[in-house]
Amino acid sequence: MTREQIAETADFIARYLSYMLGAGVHTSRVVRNSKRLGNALGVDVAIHTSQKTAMLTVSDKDSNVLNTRVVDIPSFPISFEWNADLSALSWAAHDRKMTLEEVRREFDTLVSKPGMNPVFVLFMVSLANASFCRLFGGDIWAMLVTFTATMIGFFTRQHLTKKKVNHYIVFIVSAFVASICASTSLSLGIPTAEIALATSVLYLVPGVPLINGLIDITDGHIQTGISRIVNAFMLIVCIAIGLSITLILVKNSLL
Amino acid sequence: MKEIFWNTIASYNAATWPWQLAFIAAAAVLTLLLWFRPRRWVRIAAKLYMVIISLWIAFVYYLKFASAREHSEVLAIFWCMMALAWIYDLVTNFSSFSRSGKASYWGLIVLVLPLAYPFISISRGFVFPGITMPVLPSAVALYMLGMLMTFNEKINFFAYIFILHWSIIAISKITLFDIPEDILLAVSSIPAMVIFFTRSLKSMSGKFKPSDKTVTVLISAVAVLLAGSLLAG
Amino acid sequence: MIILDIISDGLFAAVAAMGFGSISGPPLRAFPYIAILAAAGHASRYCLMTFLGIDIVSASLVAAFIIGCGSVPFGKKVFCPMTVLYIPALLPMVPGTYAYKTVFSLIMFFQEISSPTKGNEYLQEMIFNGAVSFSVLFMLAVGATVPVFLLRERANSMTRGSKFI
Repeated sequence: MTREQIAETADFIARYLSYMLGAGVHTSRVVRNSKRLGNALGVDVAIHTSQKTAMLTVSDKDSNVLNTRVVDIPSFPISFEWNADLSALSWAAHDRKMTLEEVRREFDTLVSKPGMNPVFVLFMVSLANASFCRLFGGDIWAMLVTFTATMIGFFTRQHLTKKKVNHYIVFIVSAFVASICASTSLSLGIPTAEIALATSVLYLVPGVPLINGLIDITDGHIQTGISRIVNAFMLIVCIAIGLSITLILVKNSLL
Repeated sequence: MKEIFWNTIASYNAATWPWQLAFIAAAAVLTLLLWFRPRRWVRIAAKLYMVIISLWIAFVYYLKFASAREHSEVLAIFWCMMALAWIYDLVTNFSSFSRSGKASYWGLIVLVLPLAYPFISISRGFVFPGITMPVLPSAVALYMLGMLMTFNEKINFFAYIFILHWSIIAISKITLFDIPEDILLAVSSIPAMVIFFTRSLKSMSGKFKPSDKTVTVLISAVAVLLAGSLLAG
Repeated sequence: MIILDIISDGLFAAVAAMGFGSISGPPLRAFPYIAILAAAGHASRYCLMTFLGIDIVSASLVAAFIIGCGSVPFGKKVFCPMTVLYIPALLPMVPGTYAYKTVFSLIMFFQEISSPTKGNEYLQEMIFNGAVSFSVLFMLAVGATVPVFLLRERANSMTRGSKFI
C-alpha cells in the first residue's frame, strides 16, 4: 500500500468513526467496528476516544507506514439507524471484500437515508409520555393533560433545536413550558394533578446517553462512560431548573 | 365550587360588558380586514390583538374577577404563555396569517361559534349577566382556533397546541361546572389537529420516514383516541 | 383483574418505549420488537415488584436481563445490534422521577439552607433518590449487557450479512 492509499483509508475510517461516535453509539462497538473495517481494508487501526475528539492511528500491516488523525466528533442527533447500518457496513466490507471506493459509496448512501418525520416523533413522544403518566398511576385526565403538555414541550424543543439554540437552554425552556401546561391540571381539582406535573417533563430525560454511559463503563471505557453520564446529568439539571421555575411560580400558593 | 364559578362569570360580565363589546367589534373588524384586505399592518394588528386579548383573559378575568377560585393564578400564567406564543410569533414572523386551501370555510364557521355562546346560555334558561359571553377563555380560544383555521397558510403551532391543551382543560369543566358550551371547543379543535398536522406533513413530504400515510393514520388514530377518552371521561 | 393490570402495564410500557425510542431514530423494522421487549420487561418488573415484593433495583436487574436475552434472537432477525433493540426497550424503566427528585431536592436544599431541620430533610431525600436512581440505572445497563458478555462472539455479529444495506 502506498502512503496515499493509507492516508485515504485513514481519512475514511476517521469519518466513519466520528459519525458513529457522533450518533451516540457506545464506544466499544465503535472501536470494534472501526477495527473490523480497517482489517477489511487491509490496515491496522488503533483508537483513542474521548467526549469531543477521537484519535486514530492507521498502519499498514506490511510496511511501517503510519498515519495518525485527530478528529472532532460532530454532534449529530442520536441515530440507532446509523448504528445498525454502519455496523452492518463493517461486516459487509469484511465479508464481501469490498474496496475502499465501494465502502465509501455505500457509507454515503447510508448516512443520507431519510430521518424520522418530526410530526411522527411529536405524536409518538406525546403518546409515550401519556402512557408513562399512566405507569406512574395517573388517571385519564392526567394522561390527557400530559399528552398535550408534552406536545407543546416537545414542539418547543424541536423548534428551538432547529433554530440551533444552545441545548441547555432548549432543555430549560421546554421543561418549563411543558410543566407550566401540565400545572393547569391543578385547577381541575383532580387528585392526580401532581403526577401529571411530575411526568410532563420526563420526555426530556436523556435515557439513551445515560444507558450508553453505563454500557461504556461496564465495557471498561470508563472515562468516556463517565463523561457521557456527566453530560446527561447536566441535561437533567436543566430539566430540574425548568421544572423548578414552574414549581416556584405555581406552588407558592400550594405549599 | 359551581356557584363560585358562575358568580365570577356574572360579576365579570356585569363589570366589563362594554369592554367585551369593544373586543368583539375589534375582532370583527380585524377578521374582515384580514379576509378582504390582507396587508402587513393588518397581520401585525391581528397578532397584537391576540396578545392583548390573552393578557386580558390572564389579568382581568383570572387575576381580578376569578381570583376567588382555587388556582386561578395557574390559569393566568397559562394565558400569559398563550400571549408569549403570539409575541414570539409577532417578533419572529413565525406564521403568515394569510388564506389558503379548503379548510378556510370551516374556519369561518368556527369563527362565528364564539358568538353562539350567549345564545346557548340563554336557551338553557340563564339570564344576563350570569351567561357565557364571547370574551371568556374558551370562547377566545375558539376564536383563535377559527383564525388559525381560516388563515392557515402557515400557522402558529405554538398557539394551536396551547388551544388544544385548553380544550382538554375546558372539557373537564363541562361536568365539573355545568358549562356544556365548551363542547364546541373540543369538537372543533380535535379535527383541527388532523387538518393542521397533515398539512404540515405535506409541506415537507418525501424527506422523512415513515411514509406520510403512516403518519396520517397515526394522527387520525390519536384524534380518535382523544375524542374517545374525552367522551369516556 | 390481575391479568388485565399486567397486560395494561405491558401495553403502556410498549407505547412509551416506541415513543421515547423514536426520538433516537431506530430503523422502522425494529419497532415491533422494541415494543415486545419493553412490554415483557416492564410487565415482569411490575409482577416482581407487586406480587413478590422485590425491591425496584433487583427487579430492574431481572427485567433488564430478560430484555437483553430477548434482544439476541430479535437482533439476529432484523439485523440490528442488540443495543438498538434493548436501549429503547429499557427507556420506560429509566428512573426519571428519581433522577428528577434528586436534583429537585438539591435545589430545595439550597432554598432551605438556613433552616437546619428542613435542609437536612432535603439533603437526606437527595441521597435517597440519588442512590435509587443510580442503582436502578446501573442495574438496567448491567442486566441488559450480561447476555453480551455471555455470548461474546454471537452478540457482536448481529448485523453480519444484513440485507438492509
